[in-house]
Amino acid sequence: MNWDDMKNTWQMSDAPQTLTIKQLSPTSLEKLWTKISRRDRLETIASVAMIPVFGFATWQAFSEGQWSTAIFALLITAAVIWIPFKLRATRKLRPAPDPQQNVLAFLRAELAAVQAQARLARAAWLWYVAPIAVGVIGFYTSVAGWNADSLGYAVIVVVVGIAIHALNAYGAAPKFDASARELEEQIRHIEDTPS
Amino acid sequence: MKPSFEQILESNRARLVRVARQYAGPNDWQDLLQDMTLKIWQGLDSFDGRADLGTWIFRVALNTALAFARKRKIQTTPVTDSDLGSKHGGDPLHVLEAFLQSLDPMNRAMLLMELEGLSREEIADVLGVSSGAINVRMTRLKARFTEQFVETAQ
Repeated sequence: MNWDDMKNTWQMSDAPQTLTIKQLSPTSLEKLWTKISRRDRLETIASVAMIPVFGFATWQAFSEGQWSTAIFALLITAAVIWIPFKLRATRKLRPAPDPQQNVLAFLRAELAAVQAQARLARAAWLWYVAPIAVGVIGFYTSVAGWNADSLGYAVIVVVVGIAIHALNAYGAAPKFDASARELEEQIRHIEDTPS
Repeated sequence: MKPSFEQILESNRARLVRVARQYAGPNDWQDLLQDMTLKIWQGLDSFDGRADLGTWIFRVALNTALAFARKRKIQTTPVTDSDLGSKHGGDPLHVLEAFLQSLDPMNRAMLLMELEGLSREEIADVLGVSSGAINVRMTRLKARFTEQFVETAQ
């Protein structure tokens, strides 16, 4: 049997007639990005809920001339406005199955999106934890003054912040790294032209 | 006129099933098939007719299949003499399937498209590499297959 016969045999092989449009449903392919979307949605809801609270606190502190309180409240408000935009911008890097893209371009775009998620997780202390922690500690201290309570509160906030950073940097980021390595492997396979 | 989704599905069902079977296990190839179909359905609006429909289908199907293979960690199985000969009784289709399973996902994609009748230019277009690179790889793949198959058959 020559190669053309082989191709004909292959193309004549049976295909079960089991697929109907009603059966369509996403599979585990989407799971990673579904998790990201869910995380982003929760973070966005929490952030948006905080905007009026700290926005009002900022306005009230400014109007009463409590400048340090107002500045820390403003820092928190800015952070909770910024977080949903940051999450959305990174999530939107995920490529759609664009038919104009070839497989190599799709893989590169997907790799860039996964790497961006890994960077986002590793840098969570900078764009997420630090602004809110500094804002919350400063806000509380400016209201309650420097005492044992505010020191205890600061310690709790720092511990929670470290825990959030650790979950992102050592829990979430390695998962993205693993996906990135598999993508890089596929890209290498496609790019390596045998001599 | 752009064909309807149902027409595309009907005329490409067998081809999509064959691709799905190569990138998923016996228990989840239907999941992959549905996923590929979903992506085709979602992307159909953006198909403007400039590309060949068959090439377009393969782009979407392979992008989906490769992502699926990554998620499910589908492993390649080294092909052995028994796979190529006695185990399948020399049935060319089974030999070919065993050979496909022994390849990495990219070489598998390339050989699949060749088997499905796409030209070298179309394969290069789908994967995003030069047709020269495809020619070199295909020559090697076919030689490897023929050598193993013929040796086993003798």
